[in-house]
Amino acid sequence: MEQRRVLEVKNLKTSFFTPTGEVKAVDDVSYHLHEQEIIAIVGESGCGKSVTQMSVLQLIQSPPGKILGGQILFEGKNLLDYAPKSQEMRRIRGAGIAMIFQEPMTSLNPVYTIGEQLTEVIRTHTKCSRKDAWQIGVAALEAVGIPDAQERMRNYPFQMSGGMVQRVLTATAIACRSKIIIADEPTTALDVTTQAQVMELLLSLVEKYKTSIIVVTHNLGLVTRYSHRVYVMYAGKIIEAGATEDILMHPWHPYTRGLLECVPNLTEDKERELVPIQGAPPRLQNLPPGCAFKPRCTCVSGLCRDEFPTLRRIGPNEHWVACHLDAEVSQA
Amino acid sequence: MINFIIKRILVSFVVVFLVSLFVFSIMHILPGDPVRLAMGFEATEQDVQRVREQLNLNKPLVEQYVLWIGGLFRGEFGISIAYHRTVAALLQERLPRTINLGIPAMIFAIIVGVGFGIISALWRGKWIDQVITLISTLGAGTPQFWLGIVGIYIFAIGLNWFPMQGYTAPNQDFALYLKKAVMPVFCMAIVMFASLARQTRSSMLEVINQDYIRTARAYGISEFSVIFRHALKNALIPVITIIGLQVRVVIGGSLLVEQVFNIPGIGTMLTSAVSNRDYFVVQSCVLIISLFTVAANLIVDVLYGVFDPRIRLARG
Repeated sequence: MEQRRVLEVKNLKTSFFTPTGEVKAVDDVSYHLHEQEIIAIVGESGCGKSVTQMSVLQLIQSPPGKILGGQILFEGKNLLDYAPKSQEMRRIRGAGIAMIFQEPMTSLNPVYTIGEQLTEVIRTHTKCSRKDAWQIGVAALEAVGIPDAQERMRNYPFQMSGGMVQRVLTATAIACRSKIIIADEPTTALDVTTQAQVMELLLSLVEKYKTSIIVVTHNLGLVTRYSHRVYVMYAGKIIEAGATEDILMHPWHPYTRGLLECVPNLTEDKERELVPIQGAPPRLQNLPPGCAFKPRCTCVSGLCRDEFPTLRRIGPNEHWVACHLDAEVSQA
Repeated sequence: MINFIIKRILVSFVVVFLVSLFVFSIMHILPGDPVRLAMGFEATEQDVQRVREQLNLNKPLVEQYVLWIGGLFRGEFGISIAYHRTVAALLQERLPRTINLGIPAMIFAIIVGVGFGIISALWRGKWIDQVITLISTLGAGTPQFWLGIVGIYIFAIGLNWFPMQGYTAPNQDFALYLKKAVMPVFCMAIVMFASLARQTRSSMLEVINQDYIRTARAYGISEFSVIFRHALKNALIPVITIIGLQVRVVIGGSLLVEQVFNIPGIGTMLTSAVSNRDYFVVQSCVLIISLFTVAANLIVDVLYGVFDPRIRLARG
């Protein structure tokens, strides 16, 4: 069954122009999101995951950043046709696509109450009185499981815990009836029990409000449990994509395999050693030709040096990979 | 918050008391006899002695201090030795003049300084930012009296736009008051303006890069609200500190500026009183200036709480 695509990103390119040269943070990235689907975008820090999502809402700071090309299709429109500061773009932000950020403690304005901030966003997107907006806000806080919502509306962000603030941001997205929620490392700054709560909350939104969710993360444990599909990013490109099951059970790209090997597993053999990926992600300036992962790769062939591997489909499912390795070697 | 304000007022009283003690001691340590200076060297020793007794200057210092402070509570500031009038009358005449120039100078500095700082931050690196940065750097480094003299030379003597000097009360002839006030107000304001513009610019730039500004934008908040509601309120917190510090710079500046523009306010009276060793005048002027400074700092402390809930709630 072919599901409806609520978001489709095609050949997105975003660069930062620094004094030392162009940094291709997002380089020809394409992905899509179905209705009521959770996808994960995975990769180490500095792979362009967040920049990709910021580009979707055109929140890249310019200068130095600039979206150089591609298409972002949402509700039949290409968002890149709108200017970043246009009315149309602002209407999408929050009410069409909402973002939840990594650092809950710094993502709300410290000098305004939760209620003031929530109602301002609500009134930006829906015509209603201050009082109605307040009620919508209280209802949204209750919907995300915040106790004493009335009371909490009068709190300042510093009076709340990190997990609570994440919920407030999620509530904002609900209050504005966002179709898509982009959660940028939603759990990184939280402790483990809160992490699970936040993820369960997001999961429940998919059911209740037919929301679609993009989770940006480096936490593969999170991916396995909640997402339907996974995109693995490296050096500004998607290097492997497919159903979560395929990626976890049959990872193809040495990078994906490397990421999986560093995940500790409680149920598994305790003797298994965690294998870190050697080195660090490359700087995205003046990348040499060929595969960007080759300096850290354990199975480099001659082809990797000269030719950039394009995404190709492998297997019967929608499993794509950008690697020169052929099947036998990869499965070995 | 109320407790906090009461506590701050009590501390303010202590500060003013210490200032009074300090200025009293300094004046009496300084060599020079005020009565002799006022009466001239032709006066006989007996006459001088008689005046001293009238003014209680022959009593022990501690007693003199107590008499002075006691008088203050009855609204008596003492008698000016040089002017032969009560200090209260002198203050009544001169204080409004200084206030009528000093308050507009502060308001001008705050509005224009903060405004220019915001403009500078929003158009960072553009020509307007560079012009404002240049003006505020020059403003911070230019002596006020020099600016006054150059101003008089260009705008009063050269262009004949404004009167050279003097003061007219606003309720007497408002247009003339304005004309005469432009240059002195500008000179008094320039240092405060310069540091406010610089502080507002840098704190605005810092706030603009904060996560919550990104959040506001990511939820479709209009750019106007992002800048003037979300960013500005945070950016103004350090600016308030500067306002508090700069109030005394404006007051201090008025001493010089009044000299340059020949304005018969507190400043000119204070400077001449110091050279005349006019004890009661100096003591009263310094005390009043310190009262203004302390009051300004009190307002700043309260404003902190208004702008920053973290401070307000921590104060309980």
